[in-house]
Amino acid sequence: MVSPHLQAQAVAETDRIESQAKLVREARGIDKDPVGYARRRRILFTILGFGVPILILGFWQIAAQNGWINAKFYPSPLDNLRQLRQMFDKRDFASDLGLTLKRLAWGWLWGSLSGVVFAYVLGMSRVVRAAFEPTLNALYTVPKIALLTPFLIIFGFKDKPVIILISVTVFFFVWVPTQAGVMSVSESYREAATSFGANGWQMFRHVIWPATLPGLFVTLRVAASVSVLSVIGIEFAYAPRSKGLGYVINTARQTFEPRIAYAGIFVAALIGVIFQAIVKQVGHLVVRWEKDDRGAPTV
Amino acid sequence: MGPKIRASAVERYFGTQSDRVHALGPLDLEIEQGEFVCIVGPSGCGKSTFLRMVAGLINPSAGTVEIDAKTDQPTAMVFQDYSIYPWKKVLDNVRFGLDLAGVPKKEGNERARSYLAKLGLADREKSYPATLSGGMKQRVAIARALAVEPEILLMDEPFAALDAQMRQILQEELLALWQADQRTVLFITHSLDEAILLGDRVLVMSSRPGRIIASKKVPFPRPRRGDVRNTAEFAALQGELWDLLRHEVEAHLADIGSK
Ligand SMILES: Nc1ncnc2c1ncn2[C@@H]1O[C@H](COP(=O)(O)OP(=O)(O)OP(=O)(O)O)[C@@H](O)[C@H]1O
Ligand SMILES: [Mg+2]
Repeated sequence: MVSPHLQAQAVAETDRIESQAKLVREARGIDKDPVGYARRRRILFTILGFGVPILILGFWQIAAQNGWINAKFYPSPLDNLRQLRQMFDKRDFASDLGLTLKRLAWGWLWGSLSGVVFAYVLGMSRVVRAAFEPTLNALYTVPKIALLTPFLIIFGFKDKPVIILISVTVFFFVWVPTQAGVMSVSESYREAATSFGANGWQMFRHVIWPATLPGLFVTLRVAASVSVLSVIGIEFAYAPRSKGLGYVINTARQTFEPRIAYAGIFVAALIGVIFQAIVKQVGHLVVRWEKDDRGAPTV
Repeated sequence: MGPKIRASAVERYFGTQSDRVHALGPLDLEIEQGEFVCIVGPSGCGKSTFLRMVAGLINPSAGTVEIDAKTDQPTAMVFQDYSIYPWKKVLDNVRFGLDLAGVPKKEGNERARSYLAKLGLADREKSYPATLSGGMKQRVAIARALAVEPEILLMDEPFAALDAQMRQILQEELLALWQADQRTVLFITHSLDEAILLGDRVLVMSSRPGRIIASKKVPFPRPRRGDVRNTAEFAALQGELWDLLRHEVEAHLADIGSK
C-alpha cells in the first residue's frame, strides 16, 4: 500500500515532468519588436510611476471628504493645495522656498564636489589614505547637526554655516561609497592600463573615472535626498532670517497648523523627487555603455 | 647584439612567511629579437608571473630580467580575460595604448582602424564591447596590443576562452600579421598544437616553482600555415613535448596528492 503522502508526491512529480515537457521557448514581445517593446514599457512605467501616487492622493481625498479620516489632522490633498496657494499669496512662501533651494543646491554641490575629490584622491593613493582616512573616519561619526552651534558662532548667523553644514553631511555620504567604488575597480582593468604604461592621471581618466561613474551617479542621487533632509532639519533648528521651508514647517507646529506643515512636507517631497530625477537623467546621458534600468539597450 | 630579453636567475615568491609560495625560478632564458617563443607548462607553474615581469607589472624577488628596449614602453600585452574597457567603443579601446602614448587622435584613429580592419572588425568600430561576442572581444584586445606596434608582444593564453574554430581563425590571422612584420612575441598557451604552429621555439616549464626544462626549435619554415599540422614532424614534435609535459603534470598532481 502506498501512503497518501507518497502518492501525492508522485502525482506532483508527474505534473512537474509533464509541464517540463511542454516548456517552449519562443519570441515574445521584447524579441519580436525590441524598440516598440522598450517604448511601450517606458509608457507603462511612466503611467505606473505617476498613477500610484495619484491613486493614493485620490483615495486620501475621498477619505477626507467623506469624513473617514479626521480632516483637521489629515487635511485632504486639495485642501493642502489651497493652503499652499494661500501661503504663496500671504506669507511670501516663494522667498522661503527660494532660500531653501539655494541652501540645498550649494550644500549639495560643495558636499558632493569635496566628497568626490577626497574619494578619488584617497582611493587612488595609499599614502594619502593612510594620512587622512583615520581622521575622516573619526569625523564621520560626529552627529553633524551638533556642529550647527559652533558653525553659527564661527561663520555668523547667516546662510553660510547652514550651507557648510549641509556640505559636511553630504560629503560623508559621497566620500564613503565613492572611495569604496574606486578601490574595487577590477584589478584586470588597472593592469591592462599599467601594461600600456598609464601614469596616474591617465589611469584616473581612462579607467578609474569611467569605471566608477555609474556608481557615482547612484551616490549623487542619495546625496540629493540627504541634502533635502539636512536643509529641512537644519532649518528646524535654525533658519537664517527666519525663512525657509523647514522653518515654515517647524513654526506650523508651534502655531498648531497641521495644514501648513503638510503643505510644506508636500513641497519638500516634490523637491526631493525632482532633484533626484534630474541627477538620474544626467547619469543616463553620461553613462552610455550600460543598459538603463528599464532594460532598454543603449546604442 | 645581445638578446632582446634576458632572464638571469629570476625567482619570484608570493605571500609572506607561512603562506609563502615559491612561484617561479630560478629561471634563465634568452629570447632573440624577432623570435616567436611559445611557453607551455603545467597550470600554476609561473608562466603568467614571468610574462607579467616582462610587462613590468611585477618585479622579480631575485635575479634580473633585462630588456633591450628602444622605447620606454617596449611591451604590449594581450590578457586572457580580454580586459578591454566596457565604457570605450571598439575604436577607442584599440586606440587606448596610442592615447596613453600621446599619439594625436587623428593619427591614432587611422592606426586603430587599420588594425581593426586586419582583424575583421572594421564594421564594429562604434560598438560597445557589451554587444560583441567573446571572439570579437579578444580580437579587440589583440588589435589594441598590435596598434601600439610594440617591440615585444606578450600574449597570455589569448585564445583559451575561444571555441576551436575561432581559435584556428585567430591563429592564422596572428601568423599572417606576425609574418608581415616580425616582432618579438612571448606567447603562453596550454595547447601544444598552437605552440608548434605559431612558435619558432617552444619552452617547456616544470611544475611550480617553474623552471625551463626544455627548449625545442620548431623546424617548419616560414611563412607557415595551418596545414603544417598534417606533417609527420608536427606529430612527432607534439608527441615529444607531450611526454615532457605529462611527466611534469603527473609530478605536480602527485605533489598535490601527497599534501
Ligand atoms: N598575486 C599573487 N598572489 C599570490 N600568489 C600568486 C599571485 N600570482 C600568482 N600566484 C601564485 O604563483 C603561482 C604561479 O602563478 P601563475 O599565474 O604565474 O601560473 P600560470 O603558470 O600562469 O598558471 P595557469 O596556466 O593556470 O594560468 C601559482 O601558485 C599562484 O597561486
Ligand atoms: Mg596564467
